[in-house]
Amino acid sequence: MAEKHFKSAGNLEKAKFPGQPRRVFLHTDMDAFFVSVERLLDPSLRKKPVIVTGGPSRRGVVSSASYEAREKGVRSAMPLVRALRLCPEATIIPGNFAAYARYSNLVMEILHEYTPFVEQAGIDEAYLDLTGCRLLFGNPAEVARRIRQRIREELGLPSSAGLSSAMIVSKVASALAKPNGFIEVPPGAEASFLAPLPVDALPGVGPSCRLILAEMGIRKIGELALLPPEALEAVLGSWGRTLHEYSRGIDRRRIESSEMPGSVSREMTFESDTFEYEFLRSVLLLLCDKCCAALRKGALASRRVSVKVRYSDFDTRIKSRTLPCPTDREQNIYPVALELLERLLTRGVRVRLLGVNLSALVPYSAQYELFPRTSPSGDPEKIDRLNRSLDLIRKRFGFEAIMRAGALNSARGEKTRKPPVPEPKMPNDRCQAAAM
Amino acid sequence: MKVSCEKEKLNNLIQTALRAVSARVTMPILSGVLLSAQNNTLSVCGTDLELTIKASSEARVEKEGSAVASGKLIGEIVKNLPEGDIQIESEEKTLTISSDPGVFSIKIMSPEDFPAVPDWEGEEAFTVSAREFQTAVSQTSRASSNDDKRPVLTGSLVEKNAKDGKIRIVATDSYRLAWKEFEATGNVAAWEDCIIPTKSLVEVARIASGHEADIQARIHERQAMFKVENSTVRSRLIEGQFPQYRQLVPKGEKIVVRGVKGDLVAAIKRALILGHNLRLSIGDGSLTIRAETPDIGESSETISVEVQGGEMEVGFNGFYLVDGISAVEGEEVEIGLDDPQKPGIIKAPDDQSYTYILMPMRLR
Repeated sequence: MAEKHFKSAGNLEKAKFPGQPRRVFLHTDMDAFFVSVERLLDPSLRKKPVIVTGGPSRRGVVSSASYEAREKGVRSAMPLVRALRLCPEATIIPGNFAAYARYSNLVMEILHEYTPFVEQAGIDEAYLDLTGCRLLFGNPAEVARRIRQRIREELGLPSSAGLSSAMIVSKVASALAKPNGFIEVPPGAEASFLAPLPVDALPGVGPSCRLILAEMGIRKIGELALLPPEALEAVLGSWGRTLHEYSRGIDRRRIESSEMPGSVSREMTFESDTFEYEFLRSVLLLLCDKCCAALRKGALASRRVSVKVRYSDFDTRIKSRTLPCPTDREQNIYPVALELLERLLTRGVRVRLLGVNLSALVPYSAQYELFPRTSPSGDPEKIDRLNRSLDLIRKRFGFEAIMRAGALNSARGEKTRKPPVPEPKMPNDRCQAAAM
Repeated sequence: MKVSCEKEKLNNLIQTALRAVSARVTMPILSGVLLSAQNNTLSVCGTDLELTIKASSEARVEKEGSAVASGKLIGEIVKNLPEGDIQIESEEKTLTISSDPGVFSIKIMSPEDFPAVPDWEGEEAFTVSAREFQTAVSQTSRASSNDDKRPVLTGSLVEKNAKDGKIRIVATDSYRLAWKEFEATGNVAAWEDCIIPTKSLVEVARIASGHEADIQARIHERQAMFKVENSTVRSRLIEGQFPQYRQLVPKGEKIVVRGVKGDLVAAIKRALILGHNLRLSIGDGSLTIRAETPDIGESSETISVEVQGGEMEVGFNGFYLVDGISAVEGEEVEIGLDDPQKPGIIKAPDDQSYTYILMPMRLR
């Protein structure tokens, strides 16, 4: 029985912000998603150690490993050679990403039946704001149970979930609940739930950030929470302040309704920090491409482009530009984004993250033009036809089925999603601690 | 240099010249205005190298000479001085501005560094009444583009029709196009068709506002020159090919909608509250304007119009539509439509001098 509940002290039940409903966030995450899909397609793989290798550019790397393989020490992002040394009996499957994208869409469809406030955070995970759902569907924990049950019964896929008042806490909880589990952190117990966990259980804390914190003598989230926020800000920049809030279970992020989001953004943290311009340019194109595909999917157009760069010292800078007219074409967005990137890259410090954000969204509408354009981006009618065709191909075969040549270079550098926190032994005193 | 001038007059000169001074300059000297006193005339000149404005007026010149001082400073000082005579005197390193109670001394820059000031040179071309020119610029300038990526479209084509002695100003941002033709006198044939930055034309129109005088225009050394009374404007031209616009004009529209300008503009402005992609349904004697923004709301309004030709549903950007219709002179407006994917044409009935061509939007 993997369902776990943390009891909270009753006096902490009071809302922190009187007058506002306390928010309830669910984070759902598929268990070994790629492997689970492969097992649906080929049931003979069940109960066997299975390793799915990476996309077109990551043939030699583990993308997803079944829990049987994980028991032997195999982890995501591990070189295949090493994984096979640890688990020689594993079945190796080259990733069938179109199938994963298809199943991902089916999962998201189920989630959208419960609330429009769904934020997809990856191919296999999403946040849901269930705050307003109590009247419609009842107790959020019950909704979570029902969602996981439907994903299991209708699609045959296992998933885990975390439920709390903050997105960050729900995310950590769902990772901790894996495999096939559910953790609810009641209001008021967020900080005590996080406190005993290692700092890198927090999303956003990767090896280099962990190293910086270790040098300060900080290994547990609870230790992080005790630091003055200024100290973290001094070392990690503005991200330090956010991280400090996270460590105390505070997360100011909200989920915009997916029906009319305020902005569309995509970002990539690199395998290793870089200042290789060609690579960054390629990643930028990929991100613009992905953002615009998302815009077109929602029949939206954007009038504001922002580019975010996070340097290896966590200094984060953003530059934005307003466009003369709204667009959903990467052919129009990318040149602007590139100019912004060039203006951002002034520090001569390696970059660890690059992001693109499109805001000032308006419903898409096509303004016909009087004269066919002779500009480098070409005839807009043709571009729209091209983009619509790309969207159709990607809908059937997955995003990576067809790529802009300029974006191919980007594929080598993305950091694989952090492997889930190792399945912890759940000693009873953890529950006690959380209840304090 | 030592000169004195009435406050109001001096303030006008400086404010006019400042229209050409950019807030962010590439060279420090361009933040200055050049004052020169000669032959009982004081002239003030500002430039951003693309547009140069020289404004002159009579003044009591005690000592001829010139000086360059910060345009922003001198503008602020003169604007805030009380009515009455203001005396300006330049010394080696300072410019002293004094009126009865106060004295301001500001640093000056070297007049030799200031770019060449336009003289009224070149062959005489056309002359037009200030009112006529202003109307033409206000009717066309809104269709011009602000997109620096397509420089040609940030300008207006000023072309001659020597046979009829007419000048036409054409502006477009590639979504809409407006032109206005007006009668000109003088040697119209000497005008060379060119693309003038729309911003420059707007400045000329602004300087001419309130004047009953004529505007003289000519081209000299690939620069457009305009003269309004005592002010001279010189503008660089935009190099490049203006779009071949004549082929856009629909040859006889299928549907013609005729309505009252004020009613149409008011209805469109109301619709714009709930979205700027308007859906126009043309029926028998009526026009229905609908706007919709998902999650916000929708609106629908039907007004009675005269319709010839049939029914059609077409989408337009409401802002562009308002720009085109409100620029029509007179009470009545005619909208010609051919196809929901082909340009519509807006003009006054029985008047070919102003024409506004607008591309529709794709409807969903």
